[in-house]
Amino acid sequence: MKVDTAAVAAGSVLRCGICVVGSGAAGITIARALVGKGLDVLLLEGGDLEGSKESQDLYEGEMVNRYRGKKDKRYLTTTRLRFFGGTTNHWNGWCRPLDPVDFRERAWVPGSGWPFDEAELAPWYHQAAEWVDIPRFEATAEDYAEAKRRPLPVGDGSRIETKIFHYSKPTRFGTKYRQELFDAADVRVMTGANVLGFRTHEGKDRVHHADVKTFAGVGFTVEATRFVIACGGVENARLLLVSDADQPGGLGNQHDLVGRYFSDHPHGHRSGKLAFLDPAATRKRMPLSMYGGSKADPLAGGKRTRGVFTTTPAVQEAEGLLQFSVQLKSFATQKVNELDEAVLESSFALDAGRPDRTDGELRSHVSEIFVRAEQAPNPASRVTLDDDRDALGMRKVRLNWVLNDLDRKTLDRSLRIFGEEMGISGLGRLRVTVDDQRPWRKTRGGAHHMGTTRMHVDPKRGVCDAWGQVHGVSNLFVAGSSLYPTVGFANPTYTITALALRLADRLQLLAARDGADR
Amino acid sequence: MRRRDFLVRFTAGLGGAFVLSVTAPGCDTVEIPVDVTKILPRTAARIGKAWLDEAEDRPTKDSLVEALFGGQDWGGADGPEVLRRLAAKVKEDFVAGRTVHPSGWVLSITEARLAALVHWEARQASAEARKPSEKKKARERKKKARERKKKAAGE
Repeated sequence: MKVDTAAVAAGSVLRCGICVVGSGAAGITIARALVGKGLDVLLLEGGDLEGSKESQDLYEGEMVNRYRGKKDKRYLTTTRLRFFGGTTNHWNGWCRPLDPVDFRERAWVPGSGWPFDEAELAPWYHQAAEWVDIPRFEATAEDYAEAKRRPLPVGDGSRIETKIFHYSKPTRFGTKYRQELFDAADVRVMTGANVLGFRTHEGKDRVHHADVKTFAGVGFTVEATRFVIACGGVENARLLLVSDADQPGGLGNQHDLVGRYFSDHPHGHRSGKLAFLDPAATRKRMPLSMYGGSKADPLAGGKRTRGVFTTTPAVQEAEGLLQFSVQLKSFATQKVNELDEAVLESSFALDAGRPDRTDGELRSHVSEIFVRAEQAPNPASRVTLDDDRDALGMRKVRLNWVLNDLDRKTLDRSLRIFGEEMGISGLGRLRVTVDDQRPWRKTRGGAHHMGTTRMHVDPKRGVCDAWGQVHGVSNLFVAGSSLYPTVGFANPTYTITALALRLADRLQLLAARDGADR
Repeated sequence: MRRRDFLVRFTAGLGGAFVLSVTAPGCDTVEIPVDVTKILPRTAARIGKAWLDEAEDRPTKDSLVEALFGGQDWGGADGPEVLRRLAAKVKEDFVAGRTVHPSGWVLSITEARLAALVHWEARQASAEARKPSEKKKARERKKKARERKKKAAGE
C-alpha cells in the first residue's frame, strides 16, 4: 500500500519487519519479491513518484577524475535518478550476465574474486530475465551459427569472440511495478522519505533504527527487524559512512573499506576505426549488422539483441588483461583521411585483391569502434564524505574515480589484439585513435556505479559477506552493484536484479528462522 | 637467393600502377613483372611515409628488400605467386604479433615495408620527373654559349 508520508507526525516511530531503503532496480525487486510473504515490508524512497529538482539536488557532489584531470560537478547528478524507480528511469536496457571469469580470483587482477561462482547466481539470472523483460539468457554465439545475422568468426576464436547482449524495453521498474506494490497488503511504500543514517543498539552489532526526514523537515524513525540499503553504488556507501554516530568511520567501516573500490566501466568513445575488407559483410541482414546496433532477433523471440567483440578469458590470462569489449558504431558516416584511404586500398589489395573501390565505397566500410572495459578493483578509487552538507543536512559525497596501470594496459593491449585478429582473419584493419599521452581523454564512465561495499567472506577484505550482510552488523544488508567485487564489462542492472532476488530469498529464510526461534 | 644476388625495382607503369621486377644480375636474369596495383596502390606511399617517419631505427631500402624478398627462391614465380606469398607473409606477421602502428593503424610489418618501398619509388620517380630533359639542357648550353659570345663581342 502507499503511505502518505506527509501524514507521519514528527518524532513518530514506524515499525516493520524489513525496511528497504531505495526504490531502484534492487529495492523494488526485493519489495516485489516479498509481496504476499507476510514479512511487513516498508519501502522508503527519498524522491517522489516523479522526479523533482529538490530531490535530485540531494545527489550533488564533486567527482574528480584523476586521469582526465578534471572536476565534474554534474556526474553525480546526471548519472543517476532520485525518484521512484531510481536509475531504471533512464537506463538503456542493455542486459548481459557476468561471465564465469568475472567471479574467479585472477592472479593478475589484485582484489578479484567473488565469494561464489557463476553457478550460484545462475538460477537468479534465470528469474531476473522475466523482471527485466528479456528472454531467458540462453542464446550463445554458437546458437547464431546458422542465422543470417550472426557472429563473425575472428581468427581461430582463441583471442577474440562474440558475446550477445539482450535488450530490455527498457523496463522502468518504478512505473511497471508500482501498482503491484501499492496493492500489496504486506508492503508499505513511502515516497519523500529520506533516510539520513542508521543508529545501532548498544551492542553495535544491530541497527536499531533509521533516521528519516521529509522535504518539509519532519523527522521520524523507522525500526525494523532487518534493513536493506538499496540506494545505488554511491549512496549505499554514503549511508554507511554518515552512520557514524555509534561507530566511528561509519557502519561496516572498521577496516576502512566502505566507499573504496569505486568502479565504473571505462567507455572509450571513438577509440578507433575499423575498416572492413569485405563489403558484403556490412550490408543489412549480413553478419556485421549484428554488431552495428540492436535489432529484433528471432532467436530472442523477436526481442532485440546485439553482438560485441570481446577478448577471450584465455588471452586475458595469457596477457594479464581485464575484460574488454568492442562495439561498432554506424557505418557510412565516418571521416576518412588520405592515410585511411591508403590503408583501405592497400589492405583490399593484399587481402582481397580488389583495390578498385571508389571513395564512397571505402567510407561505407569504416566503422567507429566504442570500447567498454572492466575497471580493475582499486582501493584508491573511492567515495568519501565532503564537509559540505545537502539541504537535509546530510554530508555530501566526493567521488575520486581513479583508473590504474592495469586499466591502461587493458585498453592498449586489447585494442592491438583486436587489430591483429582483424588482420589474421582478413576481416579488416583497425586504426587505434587513443591518444598515447592522454589515453583517457575520450573515456567516460557508463553511469555504472559499483564496488563501494564489495562482498568478501573476510571482513578485512570486504564490507559485506556473500549475502550482502554488512560485516559486524547482523541485521543490515546492502543490495545493488556496490556489492560487486569485480565488475566485468556487462551493464550492471541485470546482475543487480539477480542479486536482489537472491537476497529477497535469503531474507525470507532468515524471517522463517526468526519465527522458528520464537 | 640472397639480397646481393638480385635487384628489386618498382617502376611507374601504365595507369599510375607500379611494376615490381626482381632481376638477378648478369645474364641469369629472373624477372618477375608484377602489376603492383594488385599488391599495393600508389596511395600506399602515404602509409610508407607515415611508418618511416615514426620508425625508431630507420630502415634502408636494402634492408627492406632483404626482409621482404630474401631467403626465398623466386625462380619461376609469377605475379600472382608473389602476391600470394606476400599475403601469406602478412598473415604470418599478424599471427606472430609483428605489427607496426603508423598513425594508429595496426598493420603487419610486411605491409609497412612494402608501403615504404612504394614511398621511396614514388619519391624517386617524382625527383626524376623534375630533372630537366637532355634537349632542355642542350638549349640552355647553347643559350649560355650565345651569351658568352655576346659578352666577349661587347668587350
